[in-house]
Amino acid sequence: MNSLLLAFTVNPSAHITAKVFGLTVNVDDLVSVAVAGLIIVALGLVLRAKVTSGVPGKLQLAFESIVGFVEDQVRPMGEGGRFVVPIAVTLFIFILIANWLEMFPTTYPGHHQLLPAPTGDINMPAALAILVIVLVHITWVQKNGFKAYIRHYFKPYAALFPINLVEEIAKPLTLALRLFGNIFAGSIMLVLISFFPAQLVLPIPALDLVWKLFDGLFVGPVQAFIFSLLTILYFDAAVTGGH
Amino acid sequence: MANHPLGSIFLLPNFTFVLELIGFLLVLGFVAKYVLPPLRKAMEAREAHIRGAIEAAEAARREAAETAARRREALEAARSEARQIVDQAAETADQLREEGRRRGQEEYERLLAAAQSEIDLERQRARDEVMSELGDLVLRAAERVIGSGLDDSRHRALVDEAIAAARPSGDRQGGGESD
Repeated sequence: MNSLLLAFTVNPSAHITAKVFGLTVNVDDLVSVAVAGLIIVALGLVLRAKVTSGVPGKLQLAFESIVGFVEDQVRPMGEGGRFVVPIAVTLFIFILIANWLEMFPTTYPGHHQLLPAPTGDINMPAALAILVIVLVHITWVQKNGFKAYIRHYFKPYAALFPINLVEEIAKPLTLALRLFGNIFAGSIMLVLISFFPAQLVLPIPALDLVWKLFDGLFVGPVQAFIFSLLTILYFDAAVTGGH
Repeated sequence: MANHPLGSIFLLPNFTFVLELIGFLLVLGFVAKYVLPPLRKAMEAREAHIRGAIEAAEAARREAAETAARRREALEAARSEARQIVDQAAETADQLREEGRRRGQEEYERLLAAAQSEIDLERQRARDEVMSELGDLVLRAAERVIGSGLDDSRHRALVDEAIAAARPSGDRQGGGESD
């Protein structure tokens, strides 16, 4: 293990950075987020132009499938849960496209990856998870009142308060770290594959492609799906006022 | 960055966090405001359209069933009416046939009776004629046999008496033949 680490150093925080108001900013991740956002905006504009109530195109069908799935999940919350639909849909699409950015071959030997998956850096998963959890807690208070919100930490027994508290704290952490860990691991794999001696397993480009297909077609969508599904579940508990 | 005490800890967010949060909120706003409403509208329009089509199909099906029932009813009514008409016609035909038969029978009997009475009349007349001829013949023959000079009126009465005596047996014979 030690020799492996010595052989090639994998530095997960190797980002192109800049200072904004004296604060560190990962420029490459920011560019990736901007690219992902622009892709979504472009798709949204195309969809807006081509949207039809007749036979939908491929893009509209994809969007409708996502929206339909989310609406099915949100429906038990009733009218009070309608606001979750755009959040969950955008989360899914945004995370999915961000994950897929990893598949583009933008790494050049001796250089930084130009377009890393922003979900493979802690900043974006943390931002999304904290945003979701803050909104969930606000929803709790709005829908059930502050007293009920406080009381739910002591249910079903007051003795469970520490566990409930840990659970609430764990929610944003697990939400963020799950996504980050999976995508980050995928990118680590790509780095490791690039260090493999060519004669060891498959030729590197083939192995690289195999891993990217697995990561992109399986891990990426699954993580996007889990993130948005958990978001819906957390909102469900907040809207209905129960666990 | 590597010199920063926390810079190498990759599990700690930095200022990118805030910028990416803003970026996501922008995308969320765009999707919520410009993408989902028209998509939602299209989906609802399609749902309404499909629901309408299903309802229309259901109505058409119901109407077709009603029409079929009505047609069956009409057919049944027409059939029973036809049966009634045929029955009536058969009855009328029976009546007419019976009537015709009865009339024919009557006509036949009437004609038969008329013919019979005419025949009887004719026979009577013929016999009367024959009898009167016979009287003359007998008288003339008797004159020849016994020569002339017979008292005509006296003998005439004799002959008539003989004929009258002969008639009842002849009448009886004639009546038996006519029956």
